[in-house]
Amino acid sequence: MSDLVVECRRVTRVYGDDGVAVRALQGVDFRVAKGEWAALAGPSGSGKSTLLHLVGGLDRPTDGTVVVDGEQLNDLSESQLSDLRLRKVGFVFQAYNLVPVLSAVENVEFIMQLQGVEPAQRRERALSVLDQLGLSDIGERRPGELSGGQQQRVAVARAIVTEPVLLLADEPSANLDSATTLELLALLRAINEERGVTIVTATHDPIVMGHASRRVLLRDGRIESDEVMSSPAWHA
Amino acid sequence: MTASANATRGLFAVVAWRNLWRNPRRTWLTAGGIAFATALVVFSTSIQVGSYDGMIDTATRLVSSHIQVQHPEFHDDPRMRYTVADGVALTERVSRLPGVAGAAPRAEAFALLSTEERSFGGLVLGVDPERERQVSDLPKTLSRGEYLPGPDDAFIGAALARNLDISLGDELLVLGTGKEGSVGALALRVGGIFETGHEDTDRSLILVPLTTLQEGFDLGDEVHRILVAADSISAIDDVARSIELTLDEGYRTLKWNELMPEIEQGIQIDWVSAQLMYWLLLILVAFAIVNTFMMTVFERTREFGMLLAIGMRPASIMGMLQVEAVAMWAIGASIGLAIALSVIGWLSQTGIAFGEIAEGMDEISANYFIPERMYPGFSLESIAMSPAVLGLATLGAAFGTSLRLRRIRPVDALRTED
Repeated sequence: MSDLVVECRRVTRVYGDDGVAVRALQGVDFRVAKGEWAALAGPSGSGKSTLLHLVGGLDRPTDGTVVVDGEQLNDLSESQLSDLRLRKVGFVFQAYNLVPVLSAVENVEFIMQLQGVEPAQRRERALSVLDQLGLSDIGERRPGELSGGQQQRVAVARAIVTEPVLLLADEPSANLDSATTLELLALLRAINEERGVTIVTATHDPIVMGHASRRVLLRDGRIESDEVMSSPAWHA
Repeated sequence: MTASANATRGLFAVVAWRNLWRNPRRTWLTAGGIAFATALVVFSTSIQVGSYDGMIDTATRLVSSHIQVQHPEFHDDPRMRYTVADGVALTERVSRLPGVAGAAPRAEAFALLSTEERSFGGLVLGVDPERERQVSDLPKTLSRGEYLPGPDDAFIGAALARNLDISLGDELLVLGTGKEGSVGALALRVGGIFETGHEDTDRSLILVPLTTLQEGFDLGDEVHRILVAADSISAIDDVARSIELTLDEGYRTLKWNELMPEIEQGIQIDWVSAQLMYWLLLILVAFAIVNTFMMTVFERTREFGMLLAIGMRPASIMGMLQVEAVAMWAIGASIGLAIALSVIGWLSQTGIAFGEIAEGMDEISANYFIPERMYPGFSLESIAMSPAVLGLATLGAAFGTSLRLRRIRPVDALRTED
């Protein structure tokens, strides 16, 4: 198997019909190697979220192919895509999107329960991840009782507890202040460096871009620039 | 079932249960609707079933009893000559069958009932005074005098006594046609007066000892009917079958509903009209349940999008909504059943006295064979129908509205506002 976790070949995504077609992506080639942290940047409508959704198997390309961890997503059924998302991809959303009726630890357990992990084992793993992320004291609280930063950290815990090969974060700092954003980025950095989890983020936020090891700038559905950061922000 | 399947089900139950209480007011309103409809329908149906049992029992105890054995022609053409031979012996035979609480022979004749001053037509029943008590409540309706103390005594209805202007000890002549066309005549003394409350019965019926009527009307040992009381209303069909199997082809066995079809028809009409009302109520509540689940699915579109995005299958989310539906139904149906069964349990002890509810109800009740004190009746249908219908409606509402999940694309759902 190649060292590539993500490989998009000439990916096009068109929304709408022929009359009012919106070409969100136009023949994009995009690859992410294992252990990279790629930040997809660009103005609104540039196609960064669309690309992220295609890589995460949440959407299908109109043309071109998407391969994640060796699996060509175009060939997968909806059920197989669900399974891939459950076992190989971790998601962190802009609006946290935790299950509101579950406590922090239950939210982290939830995804393992979907995987069929035994109750005792999943509780142990959930508590362990929360502890590693410095969230052990808020494990029993529900999302409504947590700050935005805490909720996003719980969402990160949920995303990594299944040890995915790929972590996708869509505007993860959009609802956070600068200090909390830096805390979150430090967390993602640790996950990327210490656990070797490949990360792709879509962001407007220069602070986030500054922490990624690679910055991919999209404009009008095409990659305008793709640069490896020689000295990410945390190295400064 | 695998351990992992159990683990996932446990999660669904927790999430589903807590989701119910995200909007407690809505949950209570919907569960309250289910509870109200359940309680109302279960209670009303039980009262209906009880009233029907009471009506059948009252009517049969007063006049026809549960089952009768007759000459094959007598029911359709009640002529004097269509008799059952050796009625006493046959009665004895029938009374020994399983499920039979009592059996009694009756002969009867339409006759002119006369005093010195007045005459009225009426029906003369020749009864075995002791056996009659086993199949009929007529002896219990004695209001004055004694119930057939001697062979020449008559037991007559109160209204008839008033119309004939006679009282206890007065003479009464009965004149009719005997079995072979001869003149049937009896000279009787009024030994007792009964008052059933049922106008027709009190106005036109007299009872005399069976042997007196047989002798006066040339009937020999023949009778017109053998009345049979079953142990219970539910045992009637079995008892009737065993009588048919026991007797020869020269007899006809009739059940209460064939003897008094008007009672059964009345019950059927009442049942159908009540069922229409119940179904309307249940449909209204079902719409409220559908509305609740539509709101739930619309409000939680974003959450469902997230669940789909992290790898939960639409069928699993639909399953979770089904668990919510079952939980909501269980709350409502349990409360409804608890209320209904408590009231029914209490009324089973005390009964409902129509006479105490409104003035004049006693007379109306008696004329329609409604018992003075009515008790709710239990049947599987009366208790299970409403919860079962609402359960299906709740599951159907949850399933129908959750079908929308199959069309939800997680990307679109995640963009919706909370």
